[in-house]
Amino acid sequence: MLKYCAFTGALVLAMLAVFSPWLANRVPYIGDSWIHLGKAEDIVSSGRMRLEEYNDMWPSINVLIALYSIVTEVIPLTSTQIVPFLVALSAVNLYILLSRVSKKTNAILSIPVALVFTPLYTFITFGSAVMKETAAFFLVTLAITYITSFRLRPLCFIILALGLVLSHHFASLFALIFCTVMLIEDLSSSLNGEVNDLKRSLAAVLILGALTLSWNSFTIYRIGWFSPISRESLLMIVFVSLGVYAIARIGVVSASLFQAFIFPLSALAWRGQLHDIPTPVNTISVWEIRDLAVFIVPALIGLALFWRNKIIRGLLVSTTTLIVFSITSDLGYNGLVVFTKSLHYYALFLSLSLCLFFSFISSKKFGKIISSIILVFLVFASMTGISLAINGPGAYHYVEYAELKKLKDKLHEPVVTDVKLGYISDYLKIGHTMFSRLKGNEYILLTRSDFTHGILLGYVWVELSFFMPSYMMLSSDRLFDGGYIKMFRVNYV
Amino acid sequence: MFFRGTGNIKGYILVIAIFEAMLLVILYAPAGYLNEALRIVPAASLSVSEYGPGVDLYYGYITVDGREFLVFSSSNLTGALKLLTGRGLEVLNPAVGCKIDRPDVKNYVKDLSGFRVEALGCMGSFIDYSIMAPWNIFQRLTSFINGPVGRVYLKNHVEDGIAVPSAYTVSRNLLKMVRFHQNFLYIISTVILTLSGFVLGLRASSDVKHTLGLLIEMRIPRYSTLFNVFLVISGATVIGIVVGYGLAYVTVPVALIFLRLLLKIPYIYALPDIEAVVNIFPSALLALFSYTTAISLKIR
Repeated sequence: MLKYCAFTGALVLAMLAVFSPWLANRVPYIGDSWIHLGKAEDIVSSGRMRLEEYNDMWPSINVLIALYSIVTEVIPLTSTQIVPFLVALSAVNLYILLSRVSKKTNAILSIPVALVFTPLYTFITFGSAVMKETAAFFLVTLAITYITSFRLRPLCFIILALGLVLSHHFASLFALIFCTVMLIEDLSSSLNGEVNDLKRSLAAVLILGALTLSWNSFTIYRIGWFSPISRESLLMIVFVSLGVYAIARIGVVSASLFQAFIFPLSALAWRGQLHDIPTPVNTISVWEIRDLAVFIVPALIGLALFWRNKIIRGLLVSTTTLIVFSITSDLGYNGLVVFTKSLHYYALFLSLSLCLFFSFISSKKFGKIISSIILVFLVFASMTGISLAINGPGAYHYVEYAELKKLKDKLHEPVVTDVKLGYISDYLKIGHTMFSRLKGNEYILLTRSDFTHGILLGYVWVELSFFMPSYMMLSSDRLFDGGYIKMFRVNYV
Repeated sequence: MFFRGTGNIKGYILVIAIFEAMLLVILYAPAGYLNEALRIVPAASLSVSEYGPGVDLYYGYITVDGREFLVFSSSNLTGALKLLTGRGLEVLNPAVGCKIDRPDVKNYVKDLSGFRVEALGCMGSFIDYSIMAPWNIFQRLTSFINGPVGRVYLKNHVEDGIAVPSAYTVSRNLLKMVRFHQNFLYIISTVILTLSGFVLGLRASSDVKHTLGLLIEMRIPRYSTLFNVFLVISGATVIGIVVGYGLAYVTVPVALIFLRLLLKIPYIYALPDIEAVVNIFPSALLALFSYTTAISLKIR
């Protein structure tokens, strides 16, 4: 009983963390939310699902928000929060998965905390967001848990795989690599005359592979090739996964040592110190290195201890493949996009390894105390990141939304704005163009974060003064001066 | 261990895979990187002029679904593309760049030209967003072009006598040099690998001999066992080559990223050339042959 109370407590803590942007700002987190909110509202009002552009082609999230809104009669803006809720609930899937690896189930109850409070990156920037990747997360964890279950019912797996394939291409790719590694492991066990689940993993690869191939081929037919999917990158992923598999399979030392190389690269990349992008970043501090060390050292020990388990090796290879592919394929803008997506899975794997370390030391003297200290430390270490993210550049505020809505009726000319306000402008159907060299008489729409963090161009942040120096701003007419939203008309260039 | 002849087949497979991987990394990764550098460095010796001589380039814009796309051609399209991309591309049908490889664009161009439309691979330049057409087909498209058709001449500075070496030329020369060293290394590695295979075969033969003895006691034919051993080792060689190629994909870029971080050496991403898998086969087969020859000689 106490065990389940502890798990519920950990789950509630994780949920509070992923709901924190919504609780603080009362609007969904990250710009993609507005795209999917608009599409969900369209489905609710028209009763039709369109397959016309990139964000339509993985419709699970749009349908999920629309369905939740229809069933519960909650407005779609609030219904978006079903996505972070499902992300937190993924911890239940991961608990089941870990209970197949370690018999000491008490220690792995900490998985919700280990997942959400990872210091590798601020998890809420992913978990609280309303985007395709996030919506796919629950299904990915469910899929890998189901694949490793004792009995695989093909019909159930077809439905699950279809949901996954319709959620996000990158999530399907991750699940497919995982299934393929499990198949290779089972094939190897079969050749050695050991007990194996060859039929199960073969069925999983065939079903998921066929569905992924068909849907993504259809998508390519509809909208053309989309990043990071291209012929070259797919070929590269095949060979990277082979290389990573070889390193992981040679022995526990090579597997752990390789992670000791990849982890610092990932941390540096997340802090903007690896990719060639113009976003101004602060150097990684000694305190951050300490937080990372507290996380990675036990995680690597956990990996080394449970390396023989094929589920762990499967997760190791599939997550490391994505991260290595993202880092080695490009250190520019496209590489950063793929890296950000890969990091969610890599952090997931390391969190699982950390819980396995806890399961190992739980039976040792002071083991439980050490585990608790590490967990509490991780929660506190993540607080700075979470508080920064809640007020950070990816966060929207209800006042911002309300002000823009009010301003909308007064706008008769297209405005110049950045990607962050571009998302919400698209949702409110405000005509806009992206920031470039400013011209006289243009209307500039800015928000608070443009002044504090810079303007968002794609995935990179550029200081506002780069486009709009102070002399230009001073000479411009200030047409709207809200708490968040400001609007200028350029007089002098 | 495998070299003491413990009969561990995993050990044999592992040693072959590691040998292939090492060979592949040493031989092909640097050349692959340089080759990629050659691809991404533009042929900077290029200049554009309104007046000839040079390779003529005709261009204009056509509108597809409200978006304008650059369309260009030349009476010597292969020459023009060579100057623009540094690659010898032959475009026989209308073609679109990889970034606009979409059904609406392709169908539109196909309807206008009446020819099948191809898609080019990505080149990281404006060509990825452009439509190209051979000269005879371009003339049909001119009536659909918005505004007048422009004409410029592309010139190669090196050919015109202005011999300022571009990054492209330097990379190409460097690649030639590396290829010489690569061939040299290839020969040495083949010799080392063959000798290593022979020595390993000799060391393993006592173990294989012992296994064969046991099999004979169990009335399992000696030659069918030898044949099966050969099949397993051939399979291991093929797996070793492919896995070695994968290892080269992973280890070299990661090492280069660390070099970039520590020594500020610029990182250029490149795929080791896929043909490396084919090129490595003779060397691997020779090693395999010497390995099995050594075993056959000892247990005869």
